[in-house]
Amino acid sequence: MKTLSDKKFSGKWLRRALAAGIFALVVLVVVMMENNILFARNRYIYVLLCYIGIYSIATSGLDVLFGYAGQISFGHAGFFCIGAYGSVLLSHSEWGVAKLGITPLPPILSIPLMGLVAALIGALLSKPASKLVFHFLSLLTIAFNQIMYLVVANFPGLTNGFIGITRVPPVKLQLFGATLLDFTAVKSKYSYVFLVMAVLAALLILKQNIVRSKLGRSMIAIRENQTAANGCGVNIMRAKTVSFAISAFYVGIAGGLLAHMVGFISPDTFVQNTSVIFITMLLFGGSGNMTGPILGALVITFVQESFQSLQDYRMLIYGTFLLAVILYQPAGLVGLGRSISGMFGGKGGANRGAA
Amino acid sequence: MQMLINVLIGGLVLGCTYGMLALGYSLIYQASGYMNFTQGNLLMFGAFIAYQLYVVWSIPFIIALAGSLIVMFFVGWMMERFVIRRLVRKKAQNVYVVLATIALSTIVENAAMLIWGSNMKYFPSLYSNPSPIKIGPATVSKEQLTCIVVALLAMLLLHFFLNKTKFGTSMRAAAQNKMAASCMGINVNTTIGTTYGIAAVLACLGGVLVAPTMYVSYQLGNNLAAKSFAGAVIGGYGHIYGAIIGSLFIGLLETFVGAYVSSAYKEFIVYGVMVLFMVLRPRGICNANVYSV
Repeated sequence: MKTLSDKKFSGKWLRRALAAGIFALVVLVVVMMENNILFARNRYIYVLLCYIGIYSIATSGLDVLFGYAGQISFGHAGFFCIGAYGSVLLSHSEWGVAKLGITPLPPILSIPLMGLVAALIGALLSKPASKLVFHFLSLLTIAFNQIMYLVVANFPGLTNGFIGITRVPPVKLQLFGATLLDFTAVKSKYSYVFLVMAVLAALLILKQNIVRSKLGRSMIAIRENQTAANGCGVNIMRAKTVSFAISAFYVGIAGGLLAHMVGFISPDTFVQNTSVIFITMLLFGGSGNMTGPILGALVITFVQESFQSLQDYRMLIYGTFLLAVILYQPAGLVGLGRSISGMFGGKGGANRGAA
Repeated sequence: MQMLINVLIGGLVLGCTYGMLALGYSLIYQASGYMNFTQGNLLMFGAFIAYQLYVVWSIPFIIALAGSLIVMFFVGWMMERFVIRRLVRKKAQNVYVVLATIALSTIVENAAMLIWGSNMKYFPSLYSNPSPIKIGPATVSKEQLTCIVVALLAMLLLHFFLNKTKFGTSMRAAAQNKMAASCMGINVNTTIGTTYGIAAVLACLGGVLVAPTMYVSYQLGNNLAAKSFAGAVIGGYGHIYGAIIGSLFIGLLETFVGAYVSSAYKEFIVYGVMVLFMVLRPRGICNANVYSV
C-alpha cells in the first residue's frame, strides 16, 4: 500500500516538475522574444504562433464534440463566422452597433460574449438533431454553414458583403479609461500572441475539467455505446446538446480572436473548406485528448505555411492527409506517439487512450 | 404564361439534376447505411471526363457519354472497394466512414482543378441545330428538354432494374438485411460495390446533362450537392422515390422563388426549408426511418 502511494506521489511531483519546467521555458522564450534576443528579425513567427493558438482553440472545441461525445459537425466554420463577425459588429466604430447609434463594446468583452452567443445557437441547432440518426447532425451543420456564409455574403448593409470589413479595432484591456494592457497586433512586438496563449491555456484547463466531470464521462459513454449509455441513465439528448454548445463556444472565441488579430474579415474565411480544415487538424493530431488538437493545429499550420507556393494544392494535401489518417492511423499523431512509446515498453500504453 | 412555362421547365431541369444526385445518396444509404458526400463532386468529375472525351479529343458524343459513364462506374466502385470496405472491415465508427467520403470528395474536387484548371469550361450544345423548340407561347431549349426526358428515363430504368431484375432484387435484399442476404447466396460485397458504381453513374449522367446549360468548372458539384441533399432530406432520407419528389420540389421552389420573389434570397429559402423540415418533420415527405434508439 505504501509503495503504491509513494509511486503516485513521485509521479505527481514528476509531472509538476515537468509542467513547471515547460512553463519556465515558455517564460524564458517569451522574455527573450520581448528583448529581441530570439526571433528578433523574424516577426513572422509571432503571427504564426497566433494562428496556431487560434486554430488550437477551435480544434480543441471540435474535439469536445467529436473526440469525446462522438458527434460530428461539418459546419463549425459557421460558429467561427458568428464569433468573428459578431465580435467585429459589436466592437467596430463604423459598422454594426455603431450604425445603430450604440456605443461599441470593447473587443475584450465582445469576444467572450459572441462565444456565448455561438454556444446558444449551437444548442438550438443540435437540439432537434440529437434524437435523430447520427448523420442528421452532419446534414444540419452543413446547411448551417451554408446559411451563415450566405448571410455574411449577401447583406452588404450589415457586413459589407464580399469586400469585407477593415479596420477592426484591436484588443485592449481598459479599466476606467486607462489602458492597462494593449494587445495590438502591430505595436508592442506582437503581444497578441500572449493573449492568444493565455486564452488557449484557460480554455484547455476548462476542457480538462469538463472532460473529467460527470458530463464528460457521459459524453464518452455516448461515444462508446449510445444504447448502453441510455441504459445507465445518461440523458443522451442533453449531453449531446451541451457538448455541441461547448464546442461552438470554443470555436466562436477562436473566430473573435482571429478577426481582431488580422484586423480584416471577409466571407471567404468561413466557407465549408474551413470546417474540413478543422476536422483535418483534429484527426491528424488525434482526437479525444488534450495534446492531439494542438499538435494537429501546429503541424497543419506549418504545412500550410511552408507550402505557401503550393496554395492551389492545399485542399488536395488536406484531403489526402485526412484520408490517410482515417485509413491507417485513426488515432492521429498522438496515437502514433503512443504506439512508438509502447514499443519501447513505456508506460503510456494504448489503454491510457481516450480519457 | 410564357414566363410560367419557362420557369416551370427551368425548375424541372434543376429538380431532375438534383434528383439524379439525391437518388445516389438514397441508394447508397439504403444499401450500406452510410452517408456519402462524394456525389456532387462525382457529378463534376463525370462532366469533366465527358468534356475531355467529347470536346478535347472530339470523340462522337454517344461514345464519349458511354465512356464517361463506364469510367465513373469504376471510380464509384473503386471508392467502395478500396476505402469504404476497408473501413467497414476494420469496424470503424460510422463517423469515420462519412469523414472518408468528405476526404475523397475534397481530393476529387482538387484533382479536377489541377487537371483541368480553375477556369470555367464551355460545353458545346449536343445538337447541330440548337434553335429552341416552341411549346405553346413559350420557347424551350433542346438541352433542357433532353435533360428532363433522359433523367426521367434513367429513373424509370432504375425502378425496373431494382424491381424486375435478379440483381436488383439481390441489391434490395442486401440493403434490408446483410446477414440474411448472404445466407441466401447473395454476394453482399459485390452488390454494395455495384450500388456505389450505379450512384456514380447517375451523378455522371446528371453532370453531362447539365453541362451544356451550365459551364463546367471544378466547383460545379458543391452547390448542386448541397441542394440535392436538401431534396433528399425533404423527400425522406434513404427513400428512393422520396429523393425524386423532394428534389423536384427543391428545384421548382428555387426557380419560382428566383423568378417571382428575389434571386438573392432563393438560396436562403431552400436551406431554410431544409432546416425547417429537419426540425419539424425529419421523416420527410415519404416517412423515412430516421429516429435513433
